[in-house]
Amino acid sequence: MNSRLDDALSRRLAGLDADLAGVALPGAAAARRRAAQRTRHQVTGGVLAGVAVIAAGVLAIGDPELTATPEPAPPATDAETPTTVPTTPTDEPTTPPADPSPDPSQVSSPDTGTDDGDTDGGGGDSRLDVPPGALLDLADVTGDSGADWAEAPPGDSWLPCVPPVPSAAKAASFAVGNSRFDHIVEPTEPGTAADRLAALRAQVTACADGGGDYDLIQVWELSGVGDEAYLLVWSGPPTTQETTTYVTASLARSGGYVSAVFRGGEGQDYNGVPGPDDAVRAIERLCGAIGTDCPVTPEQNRLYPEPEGDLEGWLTIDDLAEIGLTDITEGGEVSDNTDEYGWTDYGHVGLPRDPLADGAESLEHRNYADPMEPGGSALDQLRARFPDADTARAHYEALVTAADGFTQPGDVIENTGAVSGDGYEGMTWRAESEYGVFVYGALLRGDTVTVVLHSIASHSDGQPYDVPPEQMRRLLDLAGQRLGG
Amino acid sequence: MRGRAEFDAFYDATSRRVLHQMYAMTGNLADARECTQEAYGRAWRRWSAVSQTASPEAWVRTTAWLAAAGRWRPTTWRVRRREEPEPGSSQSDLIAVLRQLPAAQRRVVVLRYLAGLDVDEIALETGTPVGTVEARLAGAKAALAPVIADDTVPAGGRRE
Repeated sequence: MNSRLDDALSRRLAGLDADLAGVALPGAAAARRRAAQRTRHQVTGGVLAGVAVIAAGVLAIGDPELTATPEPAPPATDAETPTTVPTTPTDEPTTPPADPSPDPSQVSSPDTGTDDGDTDGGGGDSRLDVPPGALLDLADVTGDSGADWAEAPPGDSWLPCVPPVPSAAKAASFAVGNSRFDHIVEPTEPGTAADRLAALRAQVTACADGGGDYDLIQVWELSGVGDEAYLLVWSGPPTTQETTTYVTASLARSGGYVSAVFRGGEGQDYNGVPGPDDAVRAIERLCGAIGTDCPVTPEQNRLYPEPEGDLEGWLTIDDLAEIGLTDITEGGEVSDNTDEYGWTDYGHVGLPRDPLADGAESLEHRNYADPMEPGGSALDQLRARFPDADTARAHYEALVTAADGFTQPGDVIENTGAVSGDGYEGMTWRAESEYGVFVYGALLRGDTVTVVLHSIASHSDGQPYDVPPEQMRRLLDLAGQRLGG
Repeated sequence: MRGRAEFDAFYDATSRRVLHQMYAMTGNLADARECTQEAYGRAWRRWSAVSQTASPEAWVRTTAWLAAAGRWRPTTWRVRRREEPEPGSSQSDLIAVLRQLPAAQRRVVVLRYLAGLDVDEIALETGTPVGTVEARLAGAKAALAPVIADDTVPAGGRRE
């Protein structure tokens, strides 16, 4: 009987497909446009000082291939650097290191290295050869994507900022539609692999951060893969009115070899986290070919954009950890967009009061999450700034009244208590429905009302957790303290 | 980064299936369509990461579910009761009972009997202990049994 019930249930659920007969989804292009619209309004842009430092360092190298790159990156300006407060004084600097900054005189040009003679005093060309089987193949590129990748003539990539293949290197290239994949393995002279990787990374960075149609998007250090590895993402030409070309580079070295994978193609948006798979596969293949064991346990550390860190006036990552939200590791940039793609109100049905309609001059939003866990645990904080304290208070009191009185079928909403401190006062709530639990609070300090929102789900390890009222009050209390500077 | 062609192929291959599952989870076609499309938009924004997850489809399905739950942007997905029948539904009795189930039960029953996941996979996708998944499945089946009882008649019987 149970099996029949299972089968019948499967059939009946499958039969719901009949209701979809006349329903059309807008399509993949519409999904991409939707994503592009969101991102365009979320990104505030701005080049951080650290990256410009890299570009400046790169330009000093004088690599002949740089002559093919676009205009150099503009110098950093102080105005573009956000006011950050380090989470801890002992934090490692997260500026993308140009180091080891190769001395221009010590960096051999990829194509001229063999002319430099013998660095070990042994005479003749000491450069290694690229062993057979060191390059990724069609199956590696295709993977389980289902895309119809095909081999392409190696080198001469049309992807922006992909350097030419050095004469001593070996390359493999693949293409599908408007996408391309290039893998270059380059042997180096003894003792120069680190410098060569640094030079290659600097070269790519300088091009990708070149301004105009070129835009460096992310740089990650990838530890545990070969001897040293990095992931870089950028966009560049060719571009159209709706699209540009996005490239992810997986640059690594192992022993005396430098491996560079460039994967890219036409797209409308990039707001993800580059994965380590290409770098891992490339190092596994290279090390297999040269018969050595190499580490392939990737851990990613973002170098650019430099994490915002803790911002004055906003909750800190330590504040969130204090109430148990340890999965949330990073606060994003502050956005003040209030158009249809920004935050036009407090973003929760239980806070039914529009700050802008009540006279707020601005509504800022900051999202806290783990960049490595898209869709994972997150928290939102908003700050509505009013022209004066009286207007802010009027809005706050109306907001609390509305929140206390809000109800809808199926929801159980509870006022979970007030907080107060020197110069601030706030209120917290908890809403439970069949969809889950939201905890939220609103706080008044001077001319500003701040709101904190969190949806309770589960930790990244799947373990359930809660934010009980006393913890939510503590979080709002901390928000009030931070708001005071 | 995986390119547009791969995303498009993924969308074409999976979106109807996810829409179907979201319809069963929400009991509302318009809601299902909206949160499915929203989930694919988010997937594209993070495509380099999503495409390298163990199951991009599971990522989209979970994101669509969270969109429906109002977790991502509560203001754009206001929770509402859905007591009216779905216009034109050929399975109005099933939809009616699904709507009466707690959301968590609806989700696991769809993942089990429509998406075809086993209990361990459901536990992983929903971040729920296996025992809880089993309990929710049992509860859902008990509630749904009267509606589908006729379908349990062996082949050649009244409805099959």
